[in-house]
Amino acid sequence: MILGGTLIPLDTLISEGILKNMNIHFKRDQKLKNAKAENAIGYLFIAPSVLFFTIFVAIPILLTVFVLDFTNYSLISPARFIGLDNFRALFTDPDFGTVMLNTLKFISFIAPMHIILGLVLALAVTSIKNKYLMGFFRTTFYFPLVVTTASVAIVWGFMFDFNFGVIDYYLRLFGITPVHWLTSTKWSLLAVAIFSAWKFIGNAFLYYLIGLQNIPDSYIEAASIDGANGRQILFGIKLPMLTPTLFFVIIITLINCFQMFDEPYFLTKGGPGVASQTIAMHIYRKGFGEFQIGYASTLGVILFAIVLAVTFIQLYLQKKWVSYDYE
Amino acid sequence: MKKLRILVVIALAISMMMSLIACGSGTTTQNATTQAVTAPASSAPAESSNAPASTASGEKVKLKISLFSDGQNLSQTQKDVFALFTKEHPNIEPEFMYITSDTGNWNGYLTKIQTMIAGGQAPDVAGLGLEGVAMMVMNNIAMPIDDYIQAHQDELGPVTKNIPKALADIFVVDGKTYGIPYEANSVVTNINMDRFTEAGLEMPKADWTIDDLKAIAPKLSDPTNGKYAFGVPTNFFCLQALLYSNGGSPLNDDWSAGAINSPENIEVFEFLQDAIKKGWAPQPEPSINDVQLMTQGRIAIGWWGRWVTNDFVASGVKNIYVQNLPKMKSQKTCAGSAAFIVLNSTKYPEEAKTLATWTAKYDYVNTFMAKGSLPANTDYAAQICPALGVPQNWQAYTDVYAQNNWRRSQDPPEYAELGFVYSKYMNIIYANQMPVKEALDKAQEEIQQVFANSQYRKDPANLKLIDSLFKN
Repeated sequence: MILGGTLIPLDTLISEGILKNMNIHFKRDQKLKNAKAENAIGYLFIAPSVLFFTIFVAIPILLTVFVLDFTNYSLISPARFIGLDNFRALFTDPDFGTVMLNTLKFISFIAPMHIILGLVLALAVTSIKNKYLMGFFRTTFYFPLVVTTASVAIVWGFMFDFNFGVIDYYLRLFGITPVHWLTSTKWSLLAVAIFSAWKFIGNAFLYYLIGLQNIPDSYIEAASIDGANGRQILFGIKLPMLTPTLFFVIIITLINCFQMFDEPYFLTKGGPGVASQTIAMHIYRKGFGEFQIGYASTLGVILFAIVLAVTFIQLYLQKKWVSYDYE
Repeated sequence: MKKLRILVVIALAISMMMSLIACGSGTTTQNATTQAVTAPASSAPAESSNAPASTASGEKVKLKISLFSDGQNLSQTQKDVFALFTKEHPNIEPEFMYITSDTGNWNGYLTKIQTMIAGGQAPDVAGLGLEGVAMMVMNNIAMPIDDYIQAHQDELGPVTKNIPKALADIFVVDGKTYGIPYEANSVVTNINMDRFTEAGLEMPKADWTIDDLKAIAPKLSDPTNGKYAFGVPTNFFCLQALLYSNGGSPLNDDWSAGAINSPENIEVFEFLQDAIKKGWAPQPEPSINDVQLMTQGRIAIGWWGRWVTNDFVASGVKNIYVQNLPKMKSQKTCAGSAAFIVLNSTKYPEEAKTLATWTAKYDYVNTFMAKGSLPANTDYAAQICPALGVPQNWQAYTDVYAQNNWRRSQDPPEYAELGFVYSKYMNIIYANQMPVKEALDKAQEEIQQVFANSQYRKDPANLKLIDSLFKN
């Protein structure tokens, strides 16, 4: 064999392991080639998603953050650069403070309800031994999620109606003064929160259910053999092993709460006045009701910054309480 | 095998990408197709030199026409009327775009039209309520049609002569005409006659007053059984009628500032808020509107134009009587008109103008307004309104024009922002969440802020256009 212009006998190549090395290199090159081909296939598979993401998510985000919020764009007239005017307008917007406060109120009510009640429901359902009953409850709690928000909001709207709603009917029946659920600044937030909890609690419930079902039975059996009672199993095994799911649910719930739109939009239209309007509704109103796309973009950037900050704080804090080492 | 797999993957990826790209290319494709079947321009006016006209070749021009819809498609009769148009103009084929409004009025419809324009899906011809005239003209979206009217005086003259000049002037901005009104609704008092009969009351006379209303309200109210004298207006257009009737208005006379906290307006809002407290009117709920309350017989009186007769007829409610508004300081009501306008972006201005002006003629008006809404043409109204049989005393709708007992709705180009302010404080006042004066003072501040921030008010040319808008 000729290597580097020198003729080398075959037995020398074998005895010095050169042929073996060459073989290894050849195999490595082949592997690399295969890997590259597989990568190319992978890239092709994700190409439509990347294209979709770029057109409908990345470019709009970049435009919003770096362009639109510094303009007075109104959809039908050309955008004009106005510097920080949109950010200054936040301080004179009569509704900005109220809608931010409303959003925080919704979060403080709905988030704990989803996070805690969803967990309680999941624990209760997993403790049911009868598989048919378990299936029934699983379907029941998840069912509201698969129904269109707009359609069930109409039903809830009738239930909350002051004059002929079933809720006020029962309040009257028990001698309690009925309330204007949807048209009172005092009650509209609660009405929307109740509807939201009913509609979306199945989401958290499902995540918890999957998390609980993923806990190996052997851990619980071992603990039972060692004499652990239900409370000890819950707090010593189930909850610690569920912390990654819990963390995920908290993140998702908070993000969803910050973006809350459907429930107040369909149930109260944000009223009375702006008493149940959220920041997401305010963005929609400014952008597509009043065509202040520039200002709506500014509001979007503010919301994005808040959600990002809250998520980062949670990511930082999770190191202190989330356990991933049970596997 | 591996190569085959790669080829399949590439083919799949390309097809998926193409389908994604195809999602956004509707307009281009459609326009290209439409243009492909049409001939070059021959009769296009000077302002649209780039427009291909089709009449010369006899090929069909497809025109997109947007209609304010209540969510239902056109009835067969309504579709057929366009067949009549196509018979008259075989080279033009209208394509309908039914646009619903999530706000229940023209504002929501206009929002969607604006979004369509921004998205490159603008119709060629669009139905337009008076609310949007200033905005459409000031954003250079609408095309004047004076040349067409001038050239077709023989054909259009008999139509326009029976449209009250003031109603037509709503569509004239800075001396240019943008549409011929086909519809003109005036807000009047609608009365459920059965409820009046039950209470042993006579129908009110034309000169009835707010004191008369206050006197009969307790007799018509039984809140424990869900029966009320009247429904407070939830549509600001209708509420504006009551403000006018008391000598008030949301803006000052030249529309340069708010006037919502005037003593006259405060008086009206306090009357409505008190009516809810006294059980004469139900507090509005999002789940049911005031027209539905009327059809259910739960309120005896409501204030709307003829557009609600459609709901009455559909619900089998026939015993309806209409009368003037109750007299307060004056008895003026709120009215307005609607017309089809031609959009500047159309490629076929001549054909679009033909279609837009045709909607003011009898065939269209009779078909679309047989059951609801008031024709702008008084001659047509006199034929169409009595034919339906509902309501009684329908002349009350048109008398307001004959007696000049009306004012147009005040709609500057900032109508959408103002609409939100009005709606917000109407809700707050009706829900008794704030004293009327305090609420209207806040509303006034917000109106002033809308004007201060308005881009329209910063340009002298636009201010001139606002000045030129018809105001009465």
